[in-house]
Amino acid sequence: MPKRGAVALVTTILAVVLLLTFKTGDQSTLRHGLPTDGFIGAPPAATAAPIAVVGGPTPGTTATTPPTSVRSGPTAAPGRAAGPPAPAATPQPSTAAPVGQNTSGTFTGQAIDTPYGTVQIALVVQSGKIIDVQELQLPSDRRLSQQISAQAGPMLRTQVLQAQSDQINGVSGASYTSYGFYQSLQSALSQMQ
Amino acid sequence: MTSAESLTRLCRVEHIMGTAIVIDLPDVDGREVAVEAAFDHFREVDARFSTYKPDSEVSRLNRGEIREQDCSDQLRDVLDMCEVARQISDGYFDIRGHRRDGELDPSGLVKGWSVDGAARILDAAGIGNYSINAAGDVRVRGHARPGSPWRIGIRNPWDATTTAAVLSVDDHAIATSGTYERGDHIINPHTARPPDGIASMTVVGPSLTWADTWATAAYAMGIRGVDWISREVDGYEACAISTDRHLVMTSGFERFMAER
Repeated sequence: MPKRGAVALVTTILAVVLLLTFKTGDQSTLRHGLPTDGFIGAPPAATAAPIAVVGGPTPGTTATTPPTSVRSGPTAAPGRAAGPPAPAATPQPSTAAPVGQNTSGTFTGQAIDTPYGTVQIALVVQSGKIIDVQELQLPSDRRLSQQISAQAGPMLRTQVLQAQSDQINGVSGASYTSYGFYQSLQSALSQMQ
Repeated sequence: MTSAESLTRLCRVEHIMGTAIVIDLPDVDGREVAVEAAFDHFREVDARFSTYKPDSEVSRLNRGEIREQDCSDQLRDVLDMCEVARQISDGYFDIRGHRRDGELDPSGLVKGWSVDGAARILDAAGIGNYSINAAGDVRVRGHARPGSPWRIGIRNPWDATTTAAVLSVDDHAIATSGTYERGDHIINPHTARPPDGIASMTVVGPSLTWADTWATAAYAMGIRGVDWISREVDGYEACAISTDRHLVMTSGFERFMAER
């Protein structure tokens, strides 16, 4: 069972994490760093306001919906309306690796070239659980790249850890172009076999 | 360890149509060669329908270099479906009206349609379990792993790192429209302004072509788009997130809501 759980965990992360890489938006919507209470993925309770359920036959199911933090609303993404060109590199099919319960260490992904610059990440794993995601390289050569990286980094970290705790296979409504992060993450995960 | 427990999984991403497209197969058994054909299909759709590529058929049509009656069968089918959607939605889905520049932009229907085409390729190859995720519009079949349905989150409109709900689905398409990513790219064609009071609209149903299209139309209507789906669109369920942070859903949507 732990083995299968670990397989699901890794693939969940793969499927979800790329959704959140190059978001450009309101800086205030970001959370930085890891939660300190040890419950990864828990929303910051101090600022939480629930999303209530209305309509439907049993509106009393509010308990199944999570709190959402009180923050400023969404803002338009600057300078990203046009679709970016596809990267030249063709990714090879790769398979997610099961993570053993005893796996610990830091796993460094490949450096991936993207239209915005080079992306490279590392995973810090303790007893088969990802406890941190480090961005070794994020695009920084242009101002837009810097803006993207400043926001993507904390979001990526949060998202990997959130996917691990939430056990979801994807997110509807999130579209991002995080090809580079995804590829680097995938190569880091493949080293955890 | 039995072979059932050592199933390997294939999860592949390609950057097509200006976004990341993921195909996730829980059980790799040799039939996954069809995944390459599915990605080829996305590249063909992109080449024909992209509004960003000057040599695409849609761009040439927009510049008046070709006439509608001279278009490929594929483009004419898409334009016909767009017209059906416009009529059924009382003009709320309008490929000429929802952009501020007024250009013809069928991408609100094409993305879901392209995923349905890719799903048919995987179906024809006999792949019984898969998920295809194109920029947050998702089509799933079968299970995520034996005994476990697919769990698909709905993005929290105010915090991209969290979800507002998790859906449990097996043979379904899930599409969400919102304005949090690329600005106000959906406007109410009757007022030429973004709708008030709505942060996102999620539609679940059998086809992603129509789930995506109805999500766009219902979003443009605002929160009352949920009632519209409930009344007028058979086989589809909707869940809106209002700007005052409520989930508003059709009565049939609740069966998709998963424990978290």
